[in-house]
This record gives sequence, structure tokens and C-alpha cells, in this order.
Amino acid sequence: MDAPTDEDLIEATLKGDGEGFATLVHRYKRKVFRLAANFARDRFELDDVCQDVFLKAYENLGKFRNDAPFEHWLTRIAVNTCYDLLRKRQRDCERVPLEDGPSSPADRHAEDALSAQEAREWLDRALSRLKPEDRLVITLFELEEKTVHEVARLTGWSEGNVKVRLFRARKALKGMLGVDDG
Amino acid sequence: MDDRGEERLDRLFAMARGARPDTGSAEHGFETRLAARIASEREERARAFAWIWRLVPVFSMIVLFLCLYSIFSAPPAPADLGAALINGCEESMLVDVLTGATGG
Repeated sequence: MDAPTDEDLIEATLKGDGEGFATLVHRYKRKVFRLAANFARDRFELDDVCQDVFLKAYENLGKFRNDAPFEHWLTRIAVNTCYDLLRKRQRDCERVPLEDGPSSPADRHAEDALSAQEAREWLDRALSRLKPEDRLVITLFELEEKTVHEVARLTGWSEGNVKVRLFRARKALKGMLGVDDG
Repeated sequence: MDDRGEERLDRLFAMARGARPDTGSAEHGFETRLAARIASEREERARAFAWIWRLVPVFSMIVLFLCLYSIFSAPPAPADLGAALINGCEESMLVDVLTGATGG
């Protein structure tokens, strides 16, 4: 027997079938976890963010229109939830000092010497110093490998706005790398 | 210099893409935790709704009291020309005043 489509599962959930939603969660949780892991600081925060994403999806399932795939709709919710997390963190003035992290690649003069894990850790710390909007855009573009058009669609911002934010984020990161931008 | 910076940044991002965090252990049992959260949110909402229903008689009594108070404490309607003109809707009273039919 064929696996039920997303539309079938949504319809079943709206009729009160809890199993239908559980199947949807099982189907898409990895994607949501991977996206949210770019922004969460630990596994507890990651779990909270992912629960928020699926809770919002569950509560708004009746508003889902079939004009776009469920996966796109869910990714939009995930992006918005991650953006809310970054903004909340900024309001609480939580910033990780770059010096507290692994040694800067700028000090080493050779990124080749870095392991992938070290590069990731350094970038995580560097990205945490950016504005929430800039961090969101550059993470989606560089780490999630979305196009400018896709980032614009996911965030609801114009493509021009996305390009400007990308430029700003890269400039700030280059500054942190110790590269003279002039 | 700027090209070198771009190159270094691109290299860093490329390396970081190769070290995606493993979320497998965090995903374990997620459906159960989510189901518990949905149930607790639903319970909380039902409790709030029950409280609103419990407060309906209190609000009804307040509204009733305000209605009765406004009815019984309203001043009597004025019967002079100025008030009639200001109110603008007492046409018959105005005609009476102008023709001398009332007010002696």
C-alpha cells in the first residue's frame, strides 16, 4: 500500500486523527531539527524551538492552503520561529564574546589548518555577533545553500533586502576575520 | 585584499557545511514530547475557557446593574426652547413653543 500523502495526513489530523499529525512530524522532524540546529545553542533550546515549530503548524493546520507543498509551509514556520529566537536573544542582550571561543582563523593565517568542526564553531560564534536579520539570511544562504529567491520567499523579505543583508553580514564576518575591507 | 577576504570566508563556509551538527540523538522521542506539550497546551486552554464561562454571570450582573443605574439616574428631559434646538429632534415641541401653544 502507498504511504499516505501529506494532504491525506493533514485532512486526517483536521478530522481529529492524532496519528496523522504524528506521521507528519516523523516525516519532517529531521529537516526542522537540522535547520534549527544552526541557531539553537544547546539541545534543550533545539528541542524547544522544534516543539514550537510543530505546535504552530498543528494550531494553524486549518489555515494551510494546498497552493504550496506542506514542506515549504513548514519551513517558513521554522524560519520564522528561529528568527523569533534570535530576536528574543538580542532583546535579552546575550552575545558570546568571540575571544571566548576557539582561536580565530585570522590568528592562524591559514584556514587549511582548521578542522571542519573548528570552522563550524568559529562561524557559530561569529554569526552570533551579527544582527538577527543578517544572521538568518547568511545562514540560510551559505549553510543551508538556499538561493536568494528562496531566502526571500522563506523570510517574506524582498530579494533586494536579502542581498543587502547578505552583503552586510559578509562584510561584518570579514571584519571579524581581520581582513581589511577597504 | 577584498578578494582574499571573500575567498577565506567562502572556504570557512564550505568547511562548516561539511560539519553539520548531528541531531539524531536530540530527535529521539521527539514525537512523545511534542504530544505531551500539545496535550498540556490544550488542557491549559480548556481551563482558561472554563474560567471565562464561570465569570459570565458576574459580568452579566455588572452590565445589568449599569443599565438599571443609567435608566433610573437619568435627569428628566428639558422642555425649553434652547434644549429643543440643541437636541434637534424635538420638532413638535419646537413648533409648540414658536406658536405659543405651550409655556403659557
